Amino acid sequence: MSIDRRRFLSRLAGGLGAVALADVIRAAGDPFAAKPPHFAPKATHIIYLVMNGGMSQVDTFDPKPALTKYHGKAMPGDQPKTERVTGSLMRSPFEFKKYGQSGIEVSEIFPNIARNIDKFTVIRSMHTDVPNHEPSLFMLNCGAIQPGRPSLGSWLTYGLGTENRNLPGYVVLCPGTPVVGPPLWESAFLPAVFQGTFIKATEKDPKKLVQFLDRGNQGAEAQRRQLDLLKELNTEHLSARAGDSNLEAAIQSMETAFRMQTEVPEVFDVAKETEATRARYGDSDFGRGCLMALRLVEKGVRVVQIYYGNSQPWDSHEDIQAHKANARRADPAVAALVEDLAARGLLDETLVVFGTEFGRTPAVENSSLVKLQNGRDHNSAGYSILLAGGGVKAGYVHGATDEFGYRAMEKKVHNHDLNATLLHLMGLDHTKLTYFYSGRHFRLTDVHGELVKDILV
Amino acid sequence: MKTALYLLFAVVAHGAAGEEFFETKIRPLLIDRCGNCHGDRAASGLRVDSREALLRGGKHGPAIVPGDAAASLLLQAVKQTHASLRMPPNGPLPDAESAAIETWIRDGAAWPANRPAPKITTRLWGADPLQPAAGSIDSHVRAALVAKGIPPNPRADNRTLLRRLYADLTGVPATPAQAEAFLSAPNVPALVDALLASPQFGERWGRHWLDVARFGEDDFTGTQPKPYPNAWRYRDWVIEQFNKDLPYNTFVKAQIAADLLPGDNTQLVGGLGLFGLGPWYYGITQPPQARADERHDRVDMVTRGFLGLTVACARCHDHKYDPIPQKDYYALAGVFASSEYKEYPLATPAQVAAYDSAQKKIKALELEIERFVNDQRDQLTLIYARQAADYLMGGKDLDPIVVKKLKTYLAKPEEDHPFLKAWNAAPTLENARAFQETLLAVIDQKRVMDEENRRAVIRGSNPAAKRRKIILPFNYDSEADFNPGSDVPVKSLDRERYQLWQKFIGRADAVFRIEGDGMEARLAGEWKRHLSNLRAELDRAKKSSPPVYGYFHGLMEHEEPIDLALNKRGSPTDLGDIVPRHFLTCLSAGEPATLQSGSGRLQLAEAITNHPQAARVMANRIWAWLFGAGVSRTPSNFGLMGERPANRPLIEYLAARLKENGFSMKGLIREIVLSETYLASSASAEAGNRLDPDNRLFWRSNRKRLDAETIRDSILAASGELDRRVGGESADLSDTNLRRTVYVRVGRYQQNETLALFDFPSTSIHVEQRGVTNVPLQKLFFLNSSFLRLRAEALSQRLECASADDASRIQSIYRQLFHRPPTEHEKTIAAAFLAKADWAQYAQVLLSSNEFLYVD
Repeated sequence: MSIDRRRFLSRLAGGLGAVALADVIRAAGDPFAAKPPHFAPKATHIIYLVMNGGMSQVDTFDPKPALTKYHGKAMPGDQPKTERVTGSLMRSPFEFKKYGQSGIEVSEIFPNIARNIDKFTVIRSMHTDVPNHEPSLFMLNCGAIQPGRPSLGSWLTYGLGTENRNLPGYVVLCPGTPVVGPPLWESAFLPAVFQGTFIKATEKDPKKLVQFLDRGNQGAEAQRRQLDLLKELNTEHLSARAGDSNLEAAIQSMETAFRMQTEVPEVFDVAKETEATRARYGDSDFGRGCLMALRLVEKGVRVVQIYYGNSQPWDSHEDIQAHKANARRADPAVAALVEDLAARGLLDETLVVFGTEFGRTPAVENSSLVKLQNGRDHNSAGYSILLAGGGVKAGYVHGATDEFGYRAMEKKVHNHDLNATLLHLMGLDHTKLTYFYSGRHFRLTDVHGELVKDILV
Repeated sequence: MKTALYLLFAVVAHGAAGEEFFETKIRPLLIDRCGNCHGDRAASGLRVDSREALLRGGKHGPAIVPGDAAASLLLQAVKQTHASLRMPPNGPLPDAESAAIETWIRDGAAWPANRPAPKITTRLWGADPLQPAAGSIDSHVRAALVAKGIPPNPRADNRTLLRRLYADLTGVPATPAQAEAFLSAPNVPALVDALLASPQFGERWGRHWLDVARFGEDDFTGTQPKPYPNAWRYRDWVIEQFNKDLPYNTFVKAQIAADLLPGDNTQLVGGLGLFGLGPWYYGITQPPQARADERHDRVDMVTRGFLGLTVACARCHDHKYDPIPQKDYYALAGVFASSEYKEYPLATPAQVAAYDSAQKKIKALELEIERFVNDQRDQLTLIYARQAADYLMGGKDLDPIVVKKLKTYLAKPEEDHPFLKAWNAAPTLENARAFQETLLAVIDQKRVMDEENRRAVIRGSNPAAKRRKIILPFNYDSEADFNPGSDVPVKSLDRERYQLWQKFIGRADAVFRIEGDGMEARLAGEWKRHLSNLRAELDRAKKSSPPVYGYFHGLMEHEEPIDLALNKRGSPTDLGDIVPRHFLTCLSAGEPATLQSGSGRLQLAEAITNHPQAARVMANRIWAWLFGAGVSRTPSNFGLMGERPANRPLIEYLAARLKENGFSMKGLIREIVLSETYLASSASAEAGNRLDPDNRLFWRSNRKRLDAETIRDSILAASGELDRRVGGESADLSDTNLRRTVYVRVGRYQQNETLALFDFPSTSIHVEQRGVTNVPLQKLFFLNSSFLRLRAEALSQRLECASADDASRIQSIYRQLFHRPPTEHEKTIAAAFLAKADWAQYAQVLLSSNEFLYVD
């Protein structure tokens, strides 16, 4: 699908226009056919970057001078229960400075994001239910702490279809596998086609990224001959079964599949970008993933989710300095992605989330499970995330944690509230995007979720 | 004034839609359609069991305005013309019923005075006793069709029936010889009997059941899948029972409580895999939550799977629609809290004991070797550390490997080794010795601290308090600390000293640490001989161990059965009153039966199988697996939010037949596939299309796309490569795995991508029915998968061997794939294609065709 057509469709997204309707009819049985949102969306795509393992708020986007003042001392008052035992408060080893017109403070480990901070909303009052990775990853992705619920990406493709049926609607990238793994992008009780298409971000051959995409040795011409014969046979088969829309749709699908073989590798191939562009994303699998996300969104992929790395690289129990090494890769990639989306006119319609499953404790962890006491435990009571693009304020800070960065205090945002807001920005009412299953209407936010109106433009 | 008006209306009403109209049309409708929620429960404050109640209305205001139907909320709601108020929740009432309500309100909403209203209580349509079967499938289907004025389709032609019966009953197409035999002398009953007796029947129908049973061969925790090595034995057990036609009631009992059935139950314990195989959630979350989530799955499986009731909805509160109080959920969950995981060995106790003791010995030897090797490695590290100054100064007789590692280390930036600052500035022997002293001091500090910490952990860990634990697979203790040691505070070196220790001593690649072969090459004499002796002994122990024995993953009784406390709002840490284990209130005539004997599993199994709801649910499933749609299209939800069967007498008949035939599933399948309803053509027809476009009344057969397994099996059968061996261990899907798809390994951690592409469902939750989607990614499989290319090549080779010329090969490939000769046109285009392409390419096209992938 050309960019123009994609834009045309997205302009129609407020109400289902004649073109889109024809699409729906032609695509009988095609669950990816574009569907009308509940109301005019602010964003039509979402790129969700997950700093898996738990990114510390007090070392990144939520500076706390009190930690320096009370370094090495116990926190006054009681501490929230976290996964493991922690000791005294620990100052951040990283310096914070104000950046941009907004003057938002950012840690020195994110210089490139800092340069772009005026494009972001920083939510400093995030909180979630459980200070353990698995339930919180499920909460982030599927809106419940237990397995068996559809993921955000599955809900979005179920609710909106995709703009480009030549590409998967929901792509998940990771250099390796995050903790929990494939159940995080499963469709659960939604139809199986809505599960995320997982792409190992370490694979370099774009033809190998999507299953069965590689034509191998057979030439396009020979395959076209096969398809012509097949079309003739199928048409004859259909003529005796006139009006069966499933059979018609199956014929259409085959033609689409044929086209995908040339279009898809093109889209996935980051080598098509200039050397200068690639360099700005940094030489890392995460960086290449971000660049791929840009290209995918450009071609109308609805949802791209990128996990920072294998297992849980941000889980700095022992040594918070590990955040610095992670940020060295994450920072240029995220900044370049947001810059390029803006430069290509896509940032208005693309929502970028720079998130994590929970934050970390302001106090040092001193449990018997760590060998070095220079790190922080999990903290579900307060953490920070960033949003940019489609429909969110730029250069804005929402909410605050307490003096030490432990608990979200002002304008608290639960992960359910975030999910409700993400759906809203994509044009969906989280209370109306439901699927009837097992006797009731299920939704991403279950019975929770309040729209975070303050961050909307 | 008000009273007078009512009187006036009452008089008018008597002449128009009066009391009889009310009693025959309105009261039954109010009870059936509205009573579940607006009887005793008075949802939104509205009751519909008296005129006064309707006039008072609920929170939206009065429900009726006698005389003004259009202004009455009741009518607006049931016609679903109101902007927001739409009732019943599952769709508008049939026109005839809303018309009756309209007439009744218009004529004054007459309600017989002085007659006590029958009490409306919520009830389920499927909860009534089963009446003896009367009539036939066709008579019930036709009665519904006649009422709608739809003529049923005639019987399909024999070739269509052949393809349909093979697909539906075995999932493997007929061979040309089988097709020839049937088409030359068509005898449908004989064919049906032969197919039901073939082992492929169990493979096809067992797989249907595995969807219901959310069969998966692993669970996961953290980043690791946890495979169940004997999961396939449950799959084989299911297949075998379908082939043996184990009565459905016994089939159910075996899966819930085979271990508790009287008599010899050795043939039945395999069924316990339904729960033995989980899903178990291990350490995915804190133990109380994980165990509660597991029980949620068990309650869901039992109630949706066997009874078509969504009891799991009542985990957090009373069911919103169905008469299922929250306490009923915990009454059932308690049965599973009173059961635990058990492996049932398929070997004698002596064999088990011999194997276990051999394994114990192997483990002990492995541990001894590991300890010895680690000790030697640590000794060696210390030896090097004591010569640190020599290594820095480049003395004689140094280990070249260590020299090399040190050089690499020293080439790194300054910040990595602050303790070397002095030596870097002035590389004197004195400074080198100072570094060595620091290093040795840090090693010592670390050693002392580690020992202190070890003691602290022992002191800090809760001594084995008496606690109830449930054993899960892998001997996983359900109540073990989520993260042992995480709550014990200890001490550590500061960052610089720790880094020093790590980089010179601790890390696998530390400067002074040599592991594995390198370390062993530095052992000599007695030490070397000792290690090789230990290894030889381990080898012998492994060789002499008896082979691993098979077992069924199952359940058994916990030694202390318990009643659970109700979890307020579903939270396992916010407890309410204890709920005694008992059966579902809504399926009990009086007081629900208690489930207190042991865990209560056997009583639960009996309560389920004795209830007609179980027969209705299974009869509807069997129908759905044959027609692609159930009589009720929500096979796992017979509650208020489920779809009422379009033909209630049909479902009653099917359930009664299942029960009266001793719960023979084959018997019911046979009766259905021999009915004219099943044998009808799938062609469209004018009246049917117009009056029942979705074919809810079964005036025609449904055209079906083959499911994931049948597509793959049919391709393998067509190429002549299908390996028809029955049963055995699972193997991963691959180009060289030629067995039926039911034997492909399926996991919960990682869904098989190719099968999922063709709508193979989740293996983590009970599956009500499969979807059928059509996406281009599916077609890429036909274009480019090496699997299809290999099968097409095999098929074309067979054809090339079998006949000499293209014309007869075309004949035979059509017979093979479609059981018919090619048309003249098909011959022409085939010949034209083959002039430019090879046979494998041609075969690939036919294997990708809609005629091959759909069954009429």
